[in-house]
Amino acid sequence: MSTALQDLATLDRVIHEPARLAIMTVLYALGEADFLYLQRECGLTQGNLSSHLARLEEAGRVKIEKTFKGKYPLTICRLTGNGRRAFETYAQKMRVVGASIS
Amino acid sequence: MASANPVSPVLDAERRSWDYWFVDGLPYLSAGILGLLIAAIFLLVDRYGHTHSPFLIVLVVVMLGFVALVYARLRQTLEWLKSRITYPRTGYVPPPYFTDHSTPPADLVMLNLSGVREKETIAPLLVSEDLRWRLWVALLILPAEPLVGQFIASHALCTLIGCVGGFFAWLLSRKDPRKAWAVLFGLLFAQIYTCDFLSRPHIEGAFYFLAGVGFALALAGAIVLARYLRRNPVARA
Repeated sequence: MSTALQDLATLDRVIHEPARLAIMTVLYALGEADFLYLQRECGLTQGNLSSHLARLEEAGRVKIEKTFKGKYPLTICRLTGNGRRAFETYAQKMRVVGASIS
Repeated sequence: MASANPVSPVLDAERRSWDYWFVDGLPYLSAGILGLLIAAIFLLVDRYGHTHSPFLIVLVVVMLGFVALVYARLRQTLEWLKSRITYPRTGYVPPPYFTDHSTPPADLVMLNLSGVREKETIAPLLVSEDLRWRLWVALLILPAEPLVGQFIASHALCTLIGCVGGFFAWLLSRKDPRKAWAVLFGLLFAQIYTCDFLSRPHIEGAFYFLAGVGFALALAGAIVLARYLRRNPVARA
């Protein structure tokens, strides 16, 4: 197996799932976002988003914090340093694949 | 970012978050109300200043203080409003370029002159499309107010032209609401310009023009807000 192929095989499976990739992309761009905003942006159901966020949090990619903005309760999702690095590495690997077929 | 990809998902997410800040019409509404208040202050002083009434002085000081406070804390004011109107309906996302919770001067931030340093990925996008448009709109508004005051005697006509100007400013910026900041700051700069360069007989017309612009923007903001509220009822947990 070549090194390039080995690189592909080591893709981060936590991020690679499409819904989680969408969540990570939004959080990478914005730094943080509310649960409701993420739900609307990614087009996911509440339960679906919850389970994907739990998976990302479990893997240390995302930090979830409950807070308030005025009287409005917020579930803020933030990308961790580890998550940011993992996303960049993932994007780098996918870029190589994309460049080879474009 | 891969330059071959015309729409980068990361940039798209950033742009959508930018647009989200304006989607509820609150910035237009704020700009319009500020314009109306500034016009009212100057018209009050111009028309009744000679009376030296203590009530007038208190009223003008309170109004000026309010305008200064809202202008200086524009982001915070909008966030306060949004925490009650927008976030419960469509969720929270940090204001553009404020993920580090810094508070650079409001005018620089809103014109993207400081924020672009923080996010290099989006800087070329803003300079190429958005900043150019914003400056263009601001440059259109800037000379309009003193010119109207200088050449048109009828106050009603000045107000009407202001309304039309405000409507066009909204029309120009509504497809990409980030340009709304140019309208807001264009108005403010126009005030300074007007006070500095116009003689007293012409100054009233200029402020009627500003009142017209403020009214049109506030009306546009109120309509956008009403539509937003109708389309987005409060989300249930």
